[in-house]
Amino acid sequence: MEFSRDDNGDAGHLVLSGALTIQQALPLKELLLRAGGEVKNLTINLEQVERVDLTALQLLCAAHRDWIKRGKHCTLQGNIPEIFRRVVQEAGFTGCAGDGDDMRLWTGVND
Amino acid sequence: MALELDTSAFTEEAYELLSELEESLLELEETPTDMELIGRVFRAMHTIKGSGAMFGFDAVAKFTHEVETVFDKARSGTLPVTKGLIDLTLAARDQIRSILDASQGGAAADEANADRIIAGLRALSPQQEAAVAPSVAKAAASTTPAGPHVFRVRFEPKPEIFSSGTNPLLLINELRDLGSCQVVAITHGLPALEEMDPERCYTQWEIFLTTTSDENAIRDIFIFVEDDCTLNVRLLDRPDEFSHAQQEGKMLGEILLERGDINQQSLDKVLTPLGDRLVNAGLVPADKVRAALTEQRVVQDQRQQQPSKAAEVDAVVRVPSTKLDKLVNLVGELVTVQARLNQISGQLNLQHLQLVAEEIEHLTAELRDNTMSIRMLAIGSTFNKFKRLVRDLSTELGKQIELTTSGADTELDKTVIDQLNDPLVHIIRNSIDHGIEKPEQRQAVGKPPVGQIHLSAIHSGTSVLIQVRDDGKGLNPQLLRQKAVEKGILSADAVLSDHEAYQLIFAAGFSTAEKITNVSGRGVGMDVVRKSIESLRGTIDTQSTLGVGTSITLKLPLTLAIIEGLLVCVNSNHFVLPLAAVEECVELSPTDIANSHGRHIVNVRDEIVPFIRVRERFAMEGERPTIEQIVIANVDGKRVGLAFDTVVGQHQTVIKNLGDSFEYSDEFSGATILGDGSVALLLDLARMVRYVELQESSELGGS
Repeated sequence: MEFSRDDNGDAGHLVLSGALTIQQALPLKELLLRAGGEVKNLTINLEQVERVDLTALQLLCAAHRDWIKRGKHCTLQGNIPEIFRRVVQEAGFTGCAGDGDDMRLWTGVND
Repeated sequence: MALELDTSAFTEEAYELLSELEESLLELEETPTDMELIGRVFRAMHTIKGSGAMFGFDAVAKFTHEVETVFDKARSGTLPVTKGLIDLTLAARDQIRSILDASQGGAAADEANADRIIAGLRALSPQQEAAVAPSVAKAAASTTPAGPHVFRVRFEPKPEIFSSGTNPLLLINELRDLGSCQVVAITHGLPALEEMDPERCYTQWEIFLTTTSDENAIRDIFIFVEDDCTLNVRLLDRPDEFSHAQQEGKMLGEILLERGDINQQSLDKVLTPLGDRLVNAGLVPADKVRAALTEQRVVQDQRQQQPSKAAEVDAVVRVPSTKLDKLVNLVGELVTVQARLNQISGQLNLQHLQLVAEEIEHLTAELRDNTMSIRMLAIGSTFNKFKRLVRDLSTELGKQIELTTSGADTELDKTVIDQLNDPLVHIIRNSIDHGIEKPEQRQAVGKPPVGQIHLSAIHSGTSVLIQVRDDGKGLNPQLLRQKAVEKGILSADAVLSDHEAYQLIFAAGFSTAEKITNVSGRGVGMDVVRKSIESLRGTIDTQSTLGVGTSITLKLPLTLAIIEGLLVCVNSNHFVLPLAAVEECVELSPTDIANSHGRHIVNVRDEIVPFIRVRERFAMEGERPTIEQIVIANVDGKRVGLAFDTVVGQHQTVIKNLGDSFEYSDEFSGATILGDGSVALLLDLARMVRYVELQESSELGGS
């Protein structure tokens, strides 16, 4: 899991990887807080995610809502792994960010 | 008046349900672990109870509720289905019938018997709570309806649920094993990211489960997290709610759609914002709106897949049989008038009239066939009644008998079916009592201990063959002859084939005192069976092999109202013979008469066929023609001729009953009106032949 920013500081890139489970919940929260800090545009890459559980979905949902609320432009980059799609579907996460949801983190995976 | 109609609708349905209940219970006895059958029994009782309460049959509802409560335990697997439970439930079924009969003016139901049944059922279920549910309506409301239904499961885990190692998603996945799930996560309770404890659960769910399982099965999944969550399970698509909703008027949008004034897409654009407006106004969280929309969609999908009971009811119209009888009578009149029209149009030889007459003939034939088909019923319901009969009688007599059936979907005129029950009951009783041996006797002769009775029905041309076949000890022709002689039914020097000897069992007074038991000695002999079948214009044939078994075959006409007949004449008097019995027509010349040396026989391709001269039989005056016509018919398996002056031809015979003045003329089974308005009598061939035989044998005996 890592977060990087462009040189001008406007754009941030969040790459999530490995197991996004309860054991990693705290570091994930901290990373998401960092990612939502200064940047205007944020890309998220989930391609390397190997496992995911409800704690990660909750964190991503809360973070996503915060970002939208604060006017950040979020986009997904790369493919969403099957495991991520499946868990989102099983958990019934369908989106909550309203009209400003350009990333479509949940609804996108349900298409 | 309306109330009376409604009540009769309930009683009719209740009687049908009781038949189904009996059938299911008998099947369940064979396969006591069949959950589908247990469900069917439960549903039948549940419907009787619910409808009974609704129509004011409180006694029915109260009693059925008691039985249903015990059977519910069988449904939930806490009470095994045993013979004792089946016996008591069958007795309960009879008791419900008695209560219904009493409401129809029959004898009052035995309340003590009801108490005994309930006590017996409770004894089978000792862990049952003493106070049985007080309110029928309440019980009905808490019961899951049959078939797939939609539950809304609200699952609200406590925030600390993760600390007990529970993964809520696994529980949701377990629900998927019960049926189709639509899961909506309710996430509006999530705090801002900064305030979130990432190891706490903030998500709740609304899950829409379409399943055949009941509420208990759903709750069982959450049984180990009961203390860590709030669970609310609610059945959404109650059939009664649905019917109510259906009865309400259509919504504006639906009407506009139907009229083509708007398409679905445009309608959605207008309708969707309601949710948005609610969300924007902060009245309802977005995920709650999504959950509500999901609920709406899942329930609608389920209803579309499972047509409502109301729609099924619409597909079948119950009509009193008297109305149907009237329709058949009118069609009969129409057939008669149409024959007259044909005759007149033929005489007048007007082309236009003939064209219309032909068209009416065509339409009348179609109307006749359609009307007759409405009266046709499958014989299966009659067959099912006998399962109970065989079960109860075999138990009473200490025998083991299995009844199998085939051809239950064979259709027969309702009138025939109605009159067939008693003769069949008697034949089956005889098979059980006199045919099938006791288990030890069967084993001693190398037979399996369980005897078999097979009841079958099959179409054969314009007739239906109904056969009762058993693998019992068979008929002993020697013994039958000996008994017939002892009873004075047969002269000592009479020569009978084995087949003829078997027919002796149908002779009046043949039943012997030692054969009368409380099972088959109910004052009705097999002679009455024969009379009943003959009154239906049917015949009986018996085949038997000593030690192997007996089969009794009833040959019955498909219908009693309109038959294909052969119209014949003596002088100017017309008679009709059922065409189904006719095999061929031959001429009787003076040479044939001379060769027969005064006996009534004719040589047909080297076969000697006896004949009855109808003119002599009915003492009709006038000269017989030089060449007479002999119609050869099959009567009780024998070829017999009937001599007439002329054979007119095939005739659509609308059968009318003969009045009381013909009470003693039982050689005629009815009459029909011909195109010219004259009457033709329908000959009862079997009786006619038998009377002639009796007359001849008495003349021989007297000489």
